[in-house]
Amino acid sequence: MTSPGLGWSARFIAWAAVFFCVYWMSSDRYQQGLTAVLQLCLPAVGLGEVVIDRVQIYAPSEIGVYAAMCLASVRTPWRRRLGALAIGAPLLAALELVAVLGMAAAAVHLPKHVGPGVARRLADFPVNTVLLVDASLVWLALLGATEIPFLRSGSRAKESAPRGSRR
Amino acid sequence: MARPGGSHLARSQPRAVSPGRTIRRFIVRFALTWTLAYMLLVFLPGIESAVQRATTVSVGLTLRMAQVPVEIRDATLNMDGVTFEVIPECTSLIASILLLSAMVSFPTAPRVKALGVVAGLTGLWLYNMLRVMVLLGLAVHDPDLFSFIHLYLSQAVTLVFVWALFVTWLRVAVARAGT
Repeated sequence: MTSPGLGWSARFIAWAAVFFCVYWMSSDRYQQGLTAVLQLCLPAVGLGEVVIDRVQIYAPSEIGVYAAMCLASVRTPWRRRLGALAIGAPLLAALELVAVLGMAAAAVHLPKHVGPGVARRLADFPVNTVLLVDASLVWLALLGATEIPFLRSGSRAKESAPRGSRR
Repeated sequence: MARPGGSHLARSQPRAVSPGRTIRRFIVRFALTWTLAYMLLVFLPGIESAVQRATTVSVGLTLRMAQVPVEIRDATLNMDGVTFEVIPECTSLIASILLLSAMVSFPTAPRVKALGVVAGLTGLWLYNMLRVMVLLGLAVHDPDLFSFIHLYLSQAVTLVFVWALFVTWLRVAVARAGT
C-alpha cells in the first residue's frame, strides 16, 4: 500500500471541488428539469393527479461525485474512464428519476398504512440511496476491478490466512 | 512445519478469485447491509430521536465549554436569539450507516471491521459536531452563507468525508490482513 491510494484520494478531492462548482451552478436548473420529467412520469405510477412544484434532493451532486471518481482513477486507461462516465452518468440520472418517483409514491400511498413518521423515513430511502450509495456502487461495478486491487488482495488474504494468524 | 501429503497443501492455497466476482459480492453485501440498516432506522424511530438529542447535547455542551452561551432544549439549540432545530439530516446517522455498511461488507477479519466501525463512527460524529457548530455560527452571523453551505456544500463534503474514511480504513485493513 503505497502512494497510489493517497494519490487517488487527493485527485478525487480536487475533481470533487471542480464538480462541486458545476453542481452549485447547475443544481437549480437541473432540479427544475427533473421536476418537469417527473411530472410527465407520474401518471405511469398511478399518480397522475399529483402536482409537484419543485424537487429538492441535492441533485446532481452524486453525478458530480461519480464524475470525480472516474476522472481521479489512475489504473484504468482514459478511454475506459470516459466510457464509464458516459455510461454511469445517465444511469445515475435515471436512478434519480426512479428514486423520486418512489419517494412520491411512498409519500402518497404509505401514510395510510404505516403512519406519517415511518412513511417519511421510507420515502427518504430511495433518495438517500441514490445520493449517497449509487455513485460509489456504479463506479465499483464499472471500474472497481481495475482501480481497487485492495478488494481482491483483501479477499485473498482472508482466505489464505490461517485462523488466528492475523495481527 | 511441513504437512504430510500434498492434498492438504493444495487445499491451503488461496483460491483464485476474479476481481469482478469479488467486487460483485461486495456490492451485493453492501446493498443488503445498507438496506437492512436503513430499515432498522425506519421501523425503530427511537434510534433517530435519540441520536438527534445526543447530537444536540454534544454540540451544546461543547459550545458551552468554549464559553459560547447556548441554550439546549430537546433537539433545539438557541444562540443569540436564533433557534436551530437539529433535524434527522443534521445528525451523522445516515452517513454512519453508509460507512458501517461498507466496512461490514468488506472481506476482512471481524476485529479489523470492529476497529474500523468504532473509529469511523467516532470520526463521523466529531465531523458532524463541527459541521453543526459551523452551521450554527453561520445561521447567527451570516444567514446567506448559511443557506449556501447548508443547501450545497454540506452534503457533498459529507460524502467525500465518508469516502476518505473508508479508503483510509481499506488501506489499513488490507495491510493488516496481508501481514
